[in-house]
Amino acid sequence: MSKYEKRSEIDNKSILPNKKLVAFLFLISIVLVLVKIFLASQLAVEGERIQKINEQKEALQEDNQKLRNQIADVSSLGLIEDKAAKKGFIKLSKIDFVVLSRPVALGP
Amino acid sequence: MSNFRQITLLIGFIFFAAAIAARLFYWQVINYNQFAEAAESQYTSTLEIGAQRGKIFSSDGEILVSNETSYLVFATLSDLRKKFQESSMLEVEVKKAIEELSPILLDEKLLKYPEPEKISTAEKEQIIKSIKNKLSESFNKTKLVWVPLAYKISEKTKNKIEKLNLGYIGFEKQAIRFYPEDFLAPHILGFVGENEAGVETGYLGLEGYYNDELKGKPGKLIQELDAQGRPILVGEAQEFAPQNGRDLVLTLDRSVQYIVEKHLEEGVKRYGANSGSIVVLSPKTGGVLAMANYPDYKPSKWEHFSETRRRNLSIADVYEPGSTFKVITMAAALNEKVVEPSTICPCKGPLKIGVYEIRTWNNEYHSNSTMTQVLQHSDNVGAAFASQKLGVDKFLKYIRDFGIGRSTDIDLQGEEYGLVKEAWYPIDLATGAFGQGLSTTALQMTAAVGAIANDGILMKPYIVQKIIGEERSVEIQPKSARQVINKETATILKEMMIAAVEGGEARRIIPKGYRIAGKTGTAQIPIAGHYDPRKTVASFVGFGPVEDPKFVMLVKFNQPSTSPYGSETAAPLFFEITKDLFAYWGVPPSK
Repeated sequence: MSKYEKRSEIDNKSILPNKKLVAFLFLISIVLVLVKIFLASQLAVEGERIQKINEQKEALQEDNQKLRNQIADVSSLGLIEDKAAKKGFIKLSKIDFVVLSRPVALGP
Repeated sequence: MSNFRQITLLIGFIFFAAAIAARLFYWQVINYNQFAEAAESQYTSTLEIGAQRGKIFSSDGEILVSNETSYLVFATLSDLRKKFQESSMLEVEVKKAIEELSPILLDEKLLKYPEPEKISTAEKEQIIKSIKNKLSESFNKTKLVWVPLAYKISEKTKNKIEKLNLGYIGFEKQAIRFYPEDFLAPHILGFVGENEAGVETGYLGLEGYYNDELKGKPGKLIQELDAQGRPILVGEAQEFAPQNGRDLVLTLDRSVQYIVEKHLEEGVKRYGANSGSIVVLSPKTGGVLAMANYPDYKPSKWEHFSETRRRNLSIADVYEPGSTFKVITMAAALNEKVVEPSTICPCKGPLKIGVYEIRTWNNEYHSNSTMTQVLQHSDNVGAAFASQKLGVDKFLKYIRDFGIGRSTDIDLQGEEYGLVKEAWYPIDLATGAFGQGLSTTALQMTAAVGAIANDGILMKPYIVQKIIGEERSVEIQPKSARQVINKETATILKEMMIAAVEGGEARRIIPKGYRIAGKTGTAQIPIAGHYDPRKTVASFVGFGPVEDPKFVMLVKFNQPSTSPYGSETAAPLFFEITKDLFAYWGVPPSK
């Protein structure tokens, strides 16, 4: 091997990257691509889930509102009075009060 | 290249560069805002997120006004055209849709009438015709992508339309007000309608007064769009959450309001009055316990009632108070010590003032009446005697201090103030003593008598005791306006008012065992410069039980036809309500 051939071999060694390093970097990029695909798909799934939860929350809030309104509706005084009258309740004509300053019961 | 050509080219370049710079300056500096907005509208979309209007609760925490979901019905014309591309088929489909939709929308529309069962067949045909015309107009708007077909329809109607399976009909949620008690306290609540810009706004009562608190602040969703106008998933998005309106908790007692409204309706019908009003306040706080007017209206169907029926007569109808005002005259005279309960008024006959003559309501005269008897007999001459002892200046001061002819500052929209004129002549001093020649409102008069019940302290009437927001709540405390008369005067006057009730026309109808103070009033209505004796405002104002007043109440009838007198109309109703209120609060008799 001449002096010049030796020199060129050294140059090639310094210019060409380490094969292990190349493989490692390639692997890393594959992993990163896979992670990206996984995260993107997860994001889409999670987004859909969040949207569904939001819709569910809205529906529940609306149902709550409806139920509250229903309670208010059936506890309206006009309705209660009508129902009471149908069940035979009548308005008191006279109220008797018990005078507390006098004894209402004797001790043993 | 010659020197000349080089210079010409250089100048040309400079001009060209200057023109570009000028244009850029115009776009980027002078017209920056306009272009920035235009650009933003191309790559962003702004969606408004509606805020929920605040609810209104009675003092017991029950809902008086809430919200419910209704729907806007719309047709997507582009979908319709895609589905039926041939014009003949499109026409048939539109006709079919109109025929199927109109009876459903008719049922919906009828529900919005106050008494749907009273609508005749001819009227129904007229309504359905107008619905069909509107639908036809909407479907013929060929340049539009979508057209609204009906607003604020109920969920039931929505379900009926959905069952038609018309693929091009859609729905969008719209919140509307919900009134579980239907007719309860409409004049206090007010109503929600659209203003000229089509924005929902509160009108009258609480909805009008507290519109800014109730309406809340809508939110925004700003999203970046792609070239096709679709939202970019990873693009920038900003969400500004809506701030729901604040809730109001009232001093109004739902049961008291219900009792009062029921009695008022019966009273107006029984006495053949044009209208009636009742105000019930807590004398210790000034809080409104009930306020009712009849005829009334339904806030959910407000557009079907006249403006007159929507007015809160308790705060907006000014009237001459008549003899109920004698308690104010007597309060002033007693407080100034110009009279005492035992002071004797000669009161032998009509009182002459210049060319005028003051007479009693029945033209009967009780000579040597005490001031207590003056109130008992509702003696105009005796009241004029007391006001003359006071003099104009002092009398006017007390009238103003009691809040007559002045705003009460109540938190309801639509208050009128009444009128107390500035220049008084001797005849005004005499007639003013029995409530003629000045005007007031039912609320002012109730608050003024409330001051007597509250040991002389006039409380400021109010109706909202708590404003509840998402972040903070505000409690509104009772406020005293001023001490109008001293406690001793108030105590003396209470006894005089009890005597007026127990020795007056209404003595047979007082609830037994209770001490109730009050005064009747029958004021003739001034028409075209004179008083019409057949047209009166009959009223009664009072409070009870005197030892620990739970309420001060005024009952007023406008032009009762069975009897013109307050003692025969307003007073009986006052005591009927009083009995119910004592039973409701469990107030035992004191004697």
